[in-house]
Amino acid sequence: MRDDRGATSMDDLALLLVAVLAFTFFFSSLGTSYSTRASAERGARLQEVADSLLAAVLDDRRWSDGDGVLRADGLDAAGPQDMRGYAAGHPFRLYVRDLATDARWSFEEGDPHGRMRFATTNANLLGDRVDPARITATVWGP
Amino acid sequence: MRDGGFEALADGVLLLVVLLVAATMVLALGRAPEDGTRDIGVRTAEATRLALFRTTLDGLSYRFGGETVPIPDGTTVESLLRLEAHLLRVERDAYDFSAANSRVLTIASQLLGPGWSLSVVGDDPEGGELFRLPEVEIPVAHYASGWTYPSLAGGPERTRLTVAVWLSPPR
Repeated sequence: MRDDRGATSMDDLALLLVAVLAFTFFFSSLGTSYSTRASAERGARLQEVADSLLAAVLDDRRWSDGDGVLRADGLDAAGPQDMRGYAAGHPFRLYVRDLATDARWSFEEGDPHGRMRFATTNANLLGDRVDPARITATVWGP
Repeated sequence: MRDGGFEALADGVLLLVVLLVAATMVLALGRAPEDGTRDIGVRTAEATRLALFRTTLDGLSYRFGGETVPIPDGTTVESLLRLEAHLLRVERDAYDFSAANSRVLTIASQLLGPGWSLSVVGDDPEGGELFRLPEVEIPVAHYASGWTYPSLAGGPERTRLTVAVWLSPPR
């Protein structure tokens, strides 16, 4: 004995299951894609902050002659508060190392938390002579 | 299953396929952007060249005819390499800059980050290569920064100094 309404219901149920499965795949991929892209954009913005912090420090005439030549006496007199504005409110650490003498300068402010991005480049340190140097800017953010 | 049921199920499977394709496209659009290796390479080459060439060195010398010829203290790497290119162009086998070149390479290796390799090339744009520090093969996938200088003797010859950097292994 065959119950037509029962058979119809089973057919509808199969269709419903397939539709639910399809929409679940689609919306979960939509969510994943959105969160991936949003995370990448936040990372890119943070990277821009690190890049601009590095560029601004390299150009600040209080301790730089411009074009990546830093003055050792200017760095001795500098403090993290002088660089606060360049980090756009993010916790940061700026690290300069004289590769010839191994002298180091470190400027940091804020409590490092969240994701981290850094920018680094080669520069020179002007003292009694011109030494090669590495300068690295690290920032943290959400 | 009824005929109508098969049709409905076929529609459902079609919907599944369409949404799977759409989901794949959405995931592809949401993937992380390229890592910008080329930009980083170009910036690394330029920053390394500038920092290396501006560096001053004391106690440099070169050898000529069995004699040690001192170079004034405070000479920049750029000036040293220009002098080397100039003298090697005049008489390639008579001059030995190996000690000075070793100092230059030590600085260059300190400037590079981990994973990077470097070569400094001095050449005559019309006459070919004069020196390469170190003497290694530069891979095709490299990034370079260079500058062309007039002759130290005031003649028409020119010297081009280039810093080439590459990732080891290349990416």
